[in-house]
Amino acid sequence: MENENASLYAFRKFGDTVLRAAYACCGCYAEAEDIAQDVFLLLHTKPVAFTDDEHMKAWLLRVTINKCKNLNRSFRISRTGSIDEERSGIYNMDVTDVEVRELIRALPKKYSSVIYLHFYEGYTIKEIAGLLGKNPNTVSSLLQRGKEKLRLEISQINMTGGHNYEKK
Amino acid sequence: MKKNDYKNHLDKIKCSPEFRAKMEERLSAEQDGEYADSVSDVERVTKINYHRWTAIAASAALVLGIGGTAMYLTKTSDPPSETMLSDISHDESLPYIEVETITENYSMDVIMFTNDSVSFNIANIPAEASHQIIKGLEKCSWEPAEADNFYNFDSETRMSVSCTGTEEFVYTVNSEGYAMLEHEGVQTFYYNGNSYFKIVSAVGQYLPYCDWVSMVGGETGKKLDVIFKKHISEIKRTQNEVDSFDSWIMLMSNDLYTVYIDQYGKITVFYASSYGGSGSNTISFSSSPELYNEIVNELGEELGIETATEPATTPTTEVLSTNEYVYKIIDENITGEPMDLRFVIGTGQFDGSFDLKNVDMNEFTKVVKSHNWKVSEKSYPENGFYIARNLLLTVSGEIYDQQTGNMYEPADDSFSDLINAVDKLPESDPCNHIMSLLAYSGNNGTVMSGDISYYYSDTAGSVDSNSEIQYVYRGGTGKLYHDSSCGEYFMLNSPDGGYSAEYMEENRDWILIEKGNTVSLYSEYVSDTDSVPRSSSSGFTGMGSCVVDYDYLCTYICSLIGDIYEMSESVPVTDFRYDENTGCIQFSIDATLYETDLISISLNIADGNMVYAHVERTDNNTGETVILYDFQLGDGMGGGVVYYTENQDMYSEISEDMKTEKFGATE
Repeated sequence: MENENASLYAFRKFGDTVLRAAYACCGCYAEAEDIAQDVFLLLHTKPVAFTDDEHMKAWLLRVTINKCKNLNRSFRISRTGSIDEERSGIYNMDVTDVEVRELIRALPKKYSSVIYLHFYEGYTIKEIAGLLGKNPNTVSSLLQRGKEKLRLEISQINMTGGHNYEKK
Repeated sequence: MKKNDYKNHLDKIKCSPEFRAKMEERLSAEQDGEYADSVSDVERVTKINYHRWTAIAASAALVLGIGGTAMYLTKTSDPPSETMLSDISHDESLPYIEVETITENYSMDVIMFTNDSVSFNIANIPAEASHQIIKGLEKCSWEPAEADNFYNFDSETRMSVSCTGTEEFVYTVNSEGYAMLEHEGVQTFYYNGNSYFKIVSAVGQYLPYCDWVSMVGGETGKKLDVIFKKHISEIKRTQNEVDSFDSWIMLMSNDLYTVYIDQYGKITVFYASSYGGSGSNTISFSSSPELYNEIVNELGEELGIETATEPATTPTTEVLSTNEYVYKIIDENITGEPMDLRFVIGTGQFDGSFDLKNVDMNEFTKVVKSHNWKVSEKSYPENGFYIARNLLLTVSGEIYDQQTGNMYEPADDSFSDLINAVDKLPESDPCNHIMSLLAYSGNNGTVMSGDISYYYSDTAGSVDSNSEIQYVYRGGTGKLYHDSSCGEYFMLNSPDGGYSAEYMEENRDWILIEKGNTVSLYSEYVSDTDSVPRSSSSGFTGMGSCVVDYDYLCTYICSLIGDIYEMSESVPVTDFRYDENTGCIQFSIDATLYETDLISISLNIADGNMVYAHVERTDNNTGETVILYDFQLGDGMGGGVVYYTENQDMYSEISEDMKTEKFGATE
């Protein structure tokens, strides 16, 4: 590892983490790959000194979320990723996966990052506040509203019998 | 969707072999510096760095195990005697380990909180704390439970309390409230849904008196512990207070506790009060500023914080009624002078903000002071609000104080005149007003005025100078004719290059003069109504884009540039056309619409959400460029963000200049 450059080391150790975070924020695998690529290339071209792996991970997650925001703000955003592409190229999606993915997509972006950081990465509200540069009260509100939004989406799915997507 | 579904779904997201191979190849390319596990080439961090503390807290697990060596040490400090466990009722029907009867001099060795990813320990728990915690565990209204229930929550954070006396026993409680008591090799399982967070709360009250070595870990933790012990006699429990986080440093953070200290020596512990820490309560302590300064001076570099300056002086607290406090913060944040505000538009998909200039606040202040106020139960504005320094003035008539985190509302619930006062804030200036209307239009996805709205999806375009029609490949275009003889009229092109409608300005209203007469390459998008294609959730993109009120925008732009149409020596560039015969200004929405050596105007619409207009003047003699107007509607996210700046004095000067001297313009 000593001869390994930081970006390569980071990619090997946290490549999936970054990809996952990007996916959780944008709901599209293709875009998540683009974001992950940008994140690691940024680290590659502009090396950052980290105290340890956790510091590196926190940095990568923050940059990832920022890039997701930028993507959402850009003109090039495309929200029409192919389910088939994701099914065949990445993993075998079952019905639950498709529903979850639709929920992630339906979730407003401001909630998706805190939902992901809290429920998947296990960060606390205060840590998320530090990570995203937000007031802890704001993060707490976003988390609550995000969960409410998810609950709403879920209830709609239950009422309508699911989203209108093709099932495997 | 269950929480596990979310996790399971994301667990499946992994780098594809192709992507991994591609990235490895690119990242293996030449690059400066190397990365190793150890710190190398670390830059001096001069700002508060929460990441480092996240990392430190996470690594604390590695420092001590449950059989940690820390031993009970009686503190000389004055920890609180009360505990939230004291109100737990005792269920006599269940068997208990009567701790005090079997271990007369027991000690609580360590409390370990752990889950899949992180754990940390608290050691050297003060006698009072350990006594209360054990008594609390004893007195919890436990119900018998099956072992499977306990182990079902294997991945959740759990808390182990190890006690050593004449006998040893361990309580382990998970966040769902299932507990396991291990005593003499026998495991007994209980359940009490509230037990876990009650214990978390009880422990939280003693955190500053516990062993910071265990809580933080490593050499940094040891140093921190020494500093705390040095000042421990100064640490007193105070009433809960939540203040601004601007001047705080975070000493530790994990799933259950986050500890902040501010420059006045105030220590605030946030502890989880519900599952996942999503709800949190606070416990506050006070110390002296020296504690803070010593931490900063001794550990500043390690903690990533700036070197302390002069020791802070503890501010005196003025006791004010809620009413007095609201009036005070109003006076502190809103003076009699016009001030700049930022309006934040709601939340969710249609969020965004725009700035207002020189807003007259006098009427609003007057209305606020005509009311009595109380603290609202709301924790944060739920709708749009104006930011006036440290205050958020909501469209619902509340005032949120960012310094205290409190929301205030009229004591008599009479919101209406406050709502009116807030609504009128932008009306004190016409430019502000139009900006707010535009923003609301975008925010609500409705057309504010008239029938014209337009949607553009791409920026590629060209101009046919003969036909005066803007051609674009996939987007839409428009032409704004600003003619002294025919007045202004505006032609919208359809996305295929034809035009779908023409509108003429009359008394600042747009009148439809023709529609559907297209020169089209394709016809599918040509509108046959008096509206042009507009975006929708089922329209040109998958996103519910906001609808830009194009009519209003053009009217507004015309009002800005209305006096400068007769210009000579224009210097056309690629994406615009200036017709010297008609004096018309034509513009492509996607590119610069007009430019001369004196004034440059660009207007862009992209992605259906964003309009960007930029008007600047370049002085022929000096080459100096001055921005006259610069505003943006939409942020590309479906929101109605408006950024707007102006230099009205300069505009007036140029406008007059162009009309009367250089260009002989006529009205």
